[in-house]
Amino acid sequence: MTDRRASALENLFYERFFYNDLISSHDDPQLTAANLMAILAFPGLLTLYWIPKYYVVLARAPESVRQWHALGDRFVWIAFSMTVIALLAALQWESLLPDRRDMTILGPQPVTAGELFRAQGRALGRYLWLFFAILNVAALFFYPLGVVPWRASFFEGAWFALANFVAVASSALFAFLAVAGAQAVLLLALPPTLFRHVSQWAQLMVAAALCGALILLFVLRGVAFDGTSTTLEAVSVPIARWLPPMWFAALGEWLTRGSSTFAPMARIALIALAATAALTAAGYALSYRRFGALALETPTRPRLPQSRPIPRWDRLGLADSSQRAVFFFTLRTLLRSPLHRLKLGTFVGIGVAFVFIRAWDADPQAPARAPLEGPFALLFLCAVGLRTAFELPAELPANWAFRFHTVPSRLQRYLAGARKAAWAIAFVPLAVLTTLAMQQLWGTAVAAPHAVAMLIVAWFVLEAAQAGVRKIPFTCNFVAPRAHAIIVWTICAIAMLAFAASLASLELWALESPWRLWQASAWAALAGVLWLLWNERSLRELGGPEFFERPDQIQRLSLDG
Amino acid sequence: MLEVRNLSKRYGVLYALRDLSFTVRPGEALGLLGPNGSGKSTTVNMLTGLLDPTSGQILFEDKPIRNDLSAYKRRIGYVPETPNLYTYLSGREYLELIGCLREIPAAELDRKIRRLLDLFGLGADGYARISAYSKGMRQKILIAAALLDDPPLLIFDEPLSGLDVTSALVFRDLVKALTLAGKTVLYSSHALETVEKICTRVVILRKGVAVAHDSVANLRSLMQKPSLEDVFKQLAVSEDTASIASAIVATIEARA
Repeated sequence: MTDRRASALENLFYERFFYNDLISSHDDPQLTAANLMAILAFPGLLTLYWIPKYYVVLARAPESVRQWHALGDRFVWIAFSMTVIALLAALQWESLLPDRRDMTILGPQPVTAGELFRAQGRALGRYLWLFFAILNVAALFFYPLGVVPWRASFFEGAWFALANFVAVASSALFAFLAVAGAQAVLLLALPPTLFRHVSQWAQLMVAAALCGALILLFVLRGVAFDGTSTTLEAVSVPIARWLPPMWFAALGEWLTRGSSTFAPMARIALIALAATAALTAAGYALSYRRFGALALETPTRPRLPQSRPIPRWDRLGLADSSQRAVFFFTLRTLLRSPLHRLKLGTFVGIGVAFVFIRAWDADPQAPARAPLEGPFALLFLCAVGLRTAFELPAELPANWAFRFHTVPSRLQRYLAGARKAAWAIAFVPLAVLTTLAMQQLWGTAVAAPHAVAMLIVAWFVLEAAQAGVRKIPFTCNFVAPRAHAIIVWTICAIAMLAFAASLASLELWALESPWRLWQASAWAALAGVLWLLWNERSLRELGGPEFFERPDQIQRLSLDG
Repeated sequence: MLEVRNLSKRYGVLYALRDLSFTVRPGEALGLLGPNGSGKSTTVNMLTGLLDPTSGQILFEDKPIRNDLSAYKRRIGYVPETPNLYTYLSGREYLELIGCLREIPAAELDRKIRRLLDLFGLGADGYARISAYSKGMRQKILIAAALLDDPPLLIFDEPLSGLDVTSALVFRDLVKALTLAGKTVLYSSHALETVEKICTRVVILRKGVAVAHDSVANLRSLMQKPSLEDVFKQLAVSEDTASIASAIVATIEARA
């Protein structure tokens, strides 16, 4: 293959990473990618705190204490870097293999599968290297500045920085290979038709788990280092063996100091890296060509489950056909559109991580506020996730079907269908799961009131989230991302914490006596009735469905002064 | 009856359509012809209520459609030019969605969907996702969706796009049968031969202006041309098509 052709193919695949629906919009992929890069570069700057920590706080501490802190900091950073790189790989899950479009367009061209594979591999390497550099450049600079003793020679400092780079880079490579390896295993184990179905769900699970892992990073250092005071103790605790960031942090320490303390962990890191590399390479080498050919030949039209939903759902409050239309459309979009699934999955992943954090050391003897907060936080995040996903059009050009077929006077029925879909996909499963968990933990006396509380709160949250909304989910064009997104998300996080804490306190208070339970229920019922009365009036004034953002919601630059 | 009176659409200072007027009676099929950019899609978008006209009126059964747009939309079946569909739904699910939005009773909807899918040769693929459908299959789903509610007015925008020969022939006969059943049909297309066979009258647009509006037979005799294609060439095509074709061949044969 000529260099020109190879580089054209490489560029084609490289650019496609930025045209991925999951990380950028079709309208302006470069801008979205630039925003993403800016967000990724930001945490690195926070590592500046290491420098004053080592020069001021730990200046007079013994060398063993400094080393213990250095290991902890390296561990936290490596865990963060690995999670982000794995998440980026998960978002590009679909691009790791040739798809039907690749084979249709490139298949008739004089290009072999091997050439495609190499070009795709090089493009992926470039993409990951770019994001690795953006993510780690600040930390790779500041961390050695803080940790290397000021008396050390230039050579010692440079060696430390190089060893740190090797540790961080190999951990990122391992994270990427772990995700790609998971796909390679699925590829080898499953027939192509099944692979396509399973693969999408696997991507969702991996991405949601990694989003949750980002939240768990806040407690990960405590889990790994609490109860230890030296580096030897830290790498010897049983849980350390199960934490990949610890393997690579130990690799960095071993390269720097050559100490035998870190050798076993460093060995695990190298073996894990080699094993995932071998597994991924074997998986792709064996199945890439087969997959490419099968992308064209099979499974031309995999069948969805044959359901006869209409008569069955009539009995579950979906007798009205307008409601039913929006109910199934909402449900099917959330379950099948990868972008919407991932949006919701991200919020659920973060919520589940929060549940774990708060329930980590729950006391089975008596309910406490912390573990009760988790379900409410998850409920809040589900509501925000649903609202965010609903805002995003499913297929903008296909919206004509709704603009054409909907009737203004039936807006309330459409919205009721959307609400019922939210119950079906999020709130009912959430109430059931958390009630089962409460039952397991504290018995029926806590689980039953908790189930009622979850359902009442879910009802209020959903009503509040839909107040004044005139949009059928996924059918409205969308507002451009706002410049102050970080402030919005910070407020959202604070609101979630306040919401979860106050409701958990209220639940704890109500659980103390049956009289209080009745009192809380009565207040909730009264609030519900008031809401319904107020809502009834405001709904009449709403008008028909909305398909275009109102001009006042579109942000303008106002350059005319 | 569908009546269009002095319909215009302007974007800034540019007219996409200017002063278009025509009527289509029940039992009649009107062909809307014109080269790319002539205003056909703009007309169709205004007729389906997806676009507001700058001026002029559209009346259906003597009432301006804007008086009760949703009631009007319930009485139209529309096949758009591009097969924009929710591709993660199955063909059957898409038809269910449209049927539910149009409030077709469940049992009737189920029966119609099954029958239409079978008739369009999609019975076996009804449960497959639309993303896996060929262009022709997507087109059939759009046609089935347009017919589902038995609307009195049908607007077809390039409905044959992607259909195989048999399906195209079935569709031609379908349009004839629909007009015989008293439906009003507006048929926008580039396929002149098909339009000539199924439409009683045609409107030819050029640069947003109607340059002809008459029956096909009248146009042929007026212009003294043997076919609609020749009439169209005379009225709507300003380029020398043969010389452009020669130039293309010359370009691809040229060596540096």
